[in-house]
Amino acid sequence: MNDPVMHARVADLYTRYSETLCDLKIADWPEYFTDICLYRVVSRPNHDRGQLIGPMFAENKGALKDRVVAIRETLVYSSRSLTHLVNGVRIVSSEESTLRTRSMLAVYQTLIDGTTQLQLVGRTFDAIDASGPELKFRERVVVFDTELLAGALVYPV
Amino acid sequence: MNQACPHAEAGAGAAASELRPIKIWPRKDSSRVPLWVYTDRDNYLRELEAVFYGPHWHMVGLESEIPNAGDFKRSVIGERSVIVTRTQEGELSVLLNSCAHRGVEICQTTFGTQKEIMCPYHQWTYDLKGNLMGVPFKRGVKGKGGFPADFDTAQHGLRTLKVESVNGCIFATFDHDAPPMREYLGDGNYEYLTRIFNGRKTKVLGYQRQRIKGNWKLYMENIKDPYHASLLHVFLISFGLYRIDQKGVTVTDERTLSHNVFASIRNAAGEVSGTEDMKSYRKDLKLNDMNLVSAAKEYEDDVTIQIQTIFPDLVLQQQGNSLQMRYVIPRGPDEFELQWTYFGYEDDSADTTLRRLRQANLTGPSGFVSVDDTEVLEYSGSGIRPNPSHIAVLELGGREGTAPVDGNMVTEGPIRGFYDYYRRVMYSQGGDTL
Repeated sequence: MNDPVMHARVADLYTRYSETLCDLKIADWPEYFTDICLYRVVSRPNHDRGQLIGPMFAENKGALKDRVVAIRETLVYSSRSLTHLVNGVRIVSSEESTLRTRSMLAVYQTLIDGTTQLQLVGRTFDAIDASGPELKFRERVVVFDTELLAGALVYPV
Repeated sequence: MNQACPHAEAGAGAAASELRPIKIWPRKDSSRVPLWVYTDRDNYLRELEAVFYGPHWHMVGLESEIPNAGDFKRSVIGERSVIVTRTQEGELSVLLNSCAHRGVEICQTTFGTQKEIMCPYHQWTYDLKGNLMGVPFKRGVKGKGGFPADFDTAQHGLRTLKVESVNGCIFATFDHDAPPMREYLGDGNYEYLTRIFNGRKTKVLGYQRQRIKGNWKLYMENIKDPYHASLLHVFLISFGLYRIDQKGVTVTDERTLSHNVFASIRNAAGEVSGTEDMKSYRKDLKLNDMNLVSAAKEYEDDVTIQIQTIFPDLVLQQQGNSLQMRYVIPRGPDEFELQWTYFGYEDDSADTTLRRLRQANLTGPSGFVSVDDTEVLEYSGSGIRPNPSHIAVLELGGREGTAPVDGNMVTEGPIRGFYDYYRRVMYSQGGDTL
């Protein structure tokens, strides 16, 4: 995969995705995905054993929107700010209009009265749909090392 | 929570103060819980000894996690690590993960298979039942050193726990005099445990783990408290997954009052009764992906929610088709770990497994329901820690510990029952005080 334009578009996708989550523009988050999609957040030990249980799992954009409604309307949690640092985005393979990518991710969380804490570190294994004018995630699988999470993981990563 | 403990003189000791209240329970019944019970270090150590290492059973795993001879997993009871193994004969054994030689934690692997257990430090080697089989240089080297001639390896095995498998769900206790599980739970609670562990082989779908900054008892209280479920959990209420008036039963173990089941059947879609006092009820919300809440009937009865607390540290839940155990591990008075085991049955179809995975979105660290509890329990921790002389009030549904049998969910009876038993266990020798 040596197309520099595509590299730049992929890098831009990850940057905008992270910005959206850092800005807490949670309503915009589902728009980074195709209508039928896979979104899964899973701990590394579960993933290594082939076990699929994780904090979040969705199979379509509607389910992602349901999570947005829960976060905005129904869940009880204290306000927080988040910074996502994405590193080493790489296109692993490209087949027809699907790009397979991976990257490293760190998420820092700051609560009121709290110092900034590392909330989650992990790797992403994604599939990007490049058939339309905008790149969209067809699959996003976040495999996180931070199996023992501090409190709740409220926002998507 | 605004009453303070009486600041009486503590015998010959120092006078009590707001931050060092006299450690007594204000009433004979458990309709009042003094907040020092959640913060006091000595009380916590007593809990480890009397509750966690006393005559009580703890869930240490599923047989399906260690199906073959030599398989083992690491588990935890209270603050102690244990090794759960299947011996060469296929029996289960649970061993303290601490070498009989000098106390080293022997096993550092979550799951594995081995023929013997060897301490990495001085290679003391045990069989899978914990018997010490050999020690290096027992007779010394070239006639020098070694153990005394009368050193008896039979006296230096790993500490073993009493084990019982209830249809594949493995329980262990440090106290070999603890009653068998059926007697421990009582018939009613045993029946509901074996409704889920009904003899079908289980299959683990994955685990989740969280640290929560609050006292461990708050979690058990939370599950014994159907009052909050109808108020705090807007998601459950708004999407009709739970209402305080839904048809159900509560089963309380009569011997201890400390094991409970709530089992209930979801109200018909569109029914809004019982929502009158719920300020947070949102009838305008609609799910885009109804798969989240589409449960298929899989048991003989029609129960859609079963939630059971087994004293002191286990929660077993069926929420639709999602089956999980939540295991509470204390980490000092101010923090606990919550370990979730999600499972199904070995012969589940792919569709059934998918339903279990979808519905797991309701629980865990990002659960549409569980996030509320995680957060609120941390608020409990924050509110309790600096105020140990305050007293919690538990009068919903009366002042006694008995839970109603008619399925009435508007009660804190199960929490009072928990504390009635807890006080018997904790303070039996010295009256109602440490």
